[in-house]
Amino acid sequence: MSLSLAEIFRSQPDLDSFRTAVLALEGDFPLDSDGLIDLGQAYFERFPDRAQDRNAAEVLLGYAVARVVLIEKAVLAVPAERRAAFRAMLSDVGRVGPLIEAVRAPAGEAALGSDLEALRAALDALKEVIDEIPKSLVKERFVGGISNLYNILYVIRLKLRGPLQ
Amino acid sequence: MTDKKKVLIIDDDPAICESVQAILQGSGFDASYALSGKDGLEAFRKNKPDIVLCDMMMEDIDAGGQVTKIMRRERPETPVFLLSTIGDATATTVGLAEYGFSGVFQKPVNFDLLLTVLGRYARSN
Repeated sequence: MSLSLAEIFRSQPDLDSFRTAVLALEGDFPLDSDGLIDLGQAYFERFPDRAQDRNAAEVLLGYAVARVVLIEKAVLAVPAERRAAFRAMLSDVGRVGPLIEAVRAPAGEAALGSDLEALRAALDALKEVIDEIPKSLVKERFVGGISNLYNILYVIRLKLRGPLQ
Repeated sequence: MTDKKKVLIIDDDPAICESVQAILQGSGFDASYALSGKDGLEAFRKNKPDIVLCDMMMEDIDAGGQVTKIMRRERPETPVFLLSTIGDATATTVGLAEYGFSGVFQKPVNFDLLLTVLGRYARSN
């Protein structure tokens, strides 16, 4: 039986090894609100949050953990040959410019437009799962995590329309 | 030379700051960011932005609210919008008016709406 995301997180010493372990699943893992809550609780066991003088690095790690799993599910919505490019763009907005130009010619505008629609639908479905999580710091990390993916999708859309100013 | 309106983004997540900055710059604004309430206040005083977008939970759980109180006291003509991960209903109970926020945008942000609102403020100032 495969490990849950929480079990994978507990078994890995850092974000990079967690990301490597999740990427190896190629999106083949269950992602429901209970699973996200379990993953969030595993994260907070290691990095408890507090109201004052919060540890910024640990907070950011929470968003990064959330994004790793959300991106792996989201990119399943696009054809396999462009999955790596979209994974890289959704992981780092700074890579949108070069990568969108790299995939624009071979894929064509229409295919990329379809990719964006598919990614948007995938993010909407993931957000519905996050919305089921009761108000909590776990939910805050996942909302923060998915928010940036929507932002980057908007940047890609702007980039496809023309050069950013 | 175009007169681009200056927008200051204050959020402790650099990924959010960079993506919001890219969207605003791609939409004709001069956007910069700061990664804490403390640095945000310094940038506010130094750069005199026309509009501020501010997160709530940063170095302290209400850092965005506290820094907004100061910004609004120092330059009440500058609108400050909350970028919030808390629900709309909750946002109305955490003292938006008390802190002095001009409005709230729920994350994930609807950028078509945000850009419309910012454009309206930019034209009126």
